[in-house]
Amino acid sequence: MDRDLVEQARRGDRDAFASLVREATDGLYAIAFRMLRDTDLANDALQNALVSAWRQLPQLRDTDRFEAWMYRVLVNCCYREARRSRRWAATIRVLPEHAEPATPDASRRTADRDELDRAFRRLPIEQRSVFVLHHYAGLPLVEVAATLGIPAGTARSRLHYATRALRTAVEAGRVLPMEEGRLA
Amino acid sequence: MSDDLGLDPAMRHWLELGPAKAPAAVVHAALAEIGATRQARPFRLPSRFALAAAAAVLVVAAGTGLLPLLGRAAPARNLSAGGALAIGPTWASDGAVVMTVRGAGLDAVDYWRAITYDRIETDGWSQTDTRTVGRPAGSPLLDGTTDEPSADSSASVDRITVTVTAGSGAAAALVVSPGLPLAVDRPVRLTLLGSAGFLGSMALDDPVSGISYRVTGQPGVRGSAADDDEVAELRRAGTQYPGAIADRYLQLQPGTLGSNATALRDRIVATAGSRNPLDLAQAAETVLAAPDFSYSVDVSDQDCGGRSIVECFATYRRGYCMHFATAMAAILRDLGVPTRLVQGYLPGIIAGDTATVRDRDAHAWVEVFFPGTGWVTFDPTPGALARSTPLGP
Repeated sequence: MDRDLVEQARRGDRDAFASLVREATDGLYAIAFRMLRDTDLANDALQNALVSAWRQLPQLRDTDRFEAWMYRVLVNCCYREARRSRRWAATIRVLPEHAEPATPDASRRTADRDELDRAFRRLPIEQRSVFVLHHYAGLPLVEVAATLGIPAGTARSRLHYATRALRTAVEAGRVLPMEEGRLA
Repeated sequence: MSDDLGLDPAMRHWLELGPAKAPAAVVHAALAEIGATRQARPFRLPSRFALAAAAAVLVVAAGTGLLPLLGRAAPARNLSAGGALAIGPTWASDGAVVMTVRGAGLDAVDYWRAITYDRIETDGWSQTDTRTVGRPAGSPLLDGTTDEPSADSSASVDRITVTVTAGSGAAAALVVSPGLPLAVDRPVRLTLLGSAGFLGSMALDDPVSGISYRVTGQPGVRGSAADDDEVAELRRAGTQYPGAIADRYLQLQPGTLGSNATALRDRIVATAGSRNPLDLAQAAETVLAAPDFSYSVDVSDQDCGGRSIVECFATYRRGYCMHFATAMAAILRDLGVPTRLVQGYLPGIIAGDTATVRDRDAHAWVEVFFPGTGWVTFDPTPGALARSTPLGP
């Protein structure tokens, strides 16, 4: 992160801001998508985050913290999108008959993915944000807590809950097909 | 407890899946909104409908400050901004009026045409080699471009002039036209593709909310509604394509057609019974209208698994206009027939000399190039025009 660029942007230089965010947008978008699991919502979250960041940037005191601060702006925008969205009911996946996964492995991966998607969408958005910032963006838990402005213990328990819910979902998904006798 | 917080490989794999790049249009829209782009007028990608709805159409632009911050109060509009166009998993649309059109002869209008794309991407379309050219009010728009109507064609020469009024709440940046645009009574900027200059889109120089413009257009030949003379001409057209056409509109990236799309292509060839481009294009419409293809604005349940949008559509056989049109365009290119994607609107509800066009009329279709005639419209989406049947007062 170029501190000079941050400083110039903070003082109102639009081109500096454009350069700054162009470097960051792919990463921000990837995080938004993973939190929201929906490209449209992620688009909105990213667009709103960039506009909000520009408007709030003069209030950023520590230019070294730009990246974490930007994460926070983005996460807040994701929260808003999630709350606005009416599309959070877990979607039931229906595979057409002619869509055949290439291999049993691929089939299992697809099933896992569906289970994980469903389980993740059922999680509160606050848990999803901790999970994604830690496991996807690679922030240490302490850093996640600082970024989100929550106590470290809270971050840890949210991460714990989210991870456990996903693991349960995968395990349940792998058992069910056998019980339903699909192999018969 | 740290074990509890770790990810197993399946979870790690799942977490890594997903788009890796931010959509350029979203970033551009944000930067335009804060005035950080030099070349473009600020416009707002409206709410979540924006890219999902890439299906659909018009760039709606607004001067800074014309729209409420973040556009929540603005009517939702389906649009694409030109440049890159990703085909989203859902297409949301609503009844917001995007424009009203007044003029005589509206019954002859099949489509309000707004923008064309040349390059088929894995997940959508893009415009390549774009440049902008200004045109004074009233001047012949297409002079010197490759899309200039052919003088010796037997294609319909009936011209239609209408007055378009953009819906309230935003100003229309893209000029729509009844068919190929010939003149507009305000200064416009054309976006041309390639050095030969294919018409990409057309924008008003000074869009403001609720602006009206008069546009003259020439509805082209519609492949499925061509009369006998036109059919004869199209069938004779042959495949000696100009270099500029072949270079741009036959492009197909490796992997666009997988095994299912190839099977669909072969089915189209079998239905056509010949390799004549007209037969192939009509067969593509016929096959895609078969009962095993269905229209749906929500394909978010489909797992494309990294396959192209065309292959994914050929696998699940369900989608909205963008899927049908893209599949047809890609398959015809694979068969050596030049195609491009067009976005715009269905005619809307016509009452007397007024058409009311709503967000949900947004549509995408295909144009196929025939030497001697030019671009001919084909629409593989089932029931597309039927959707726009006037309900009447």
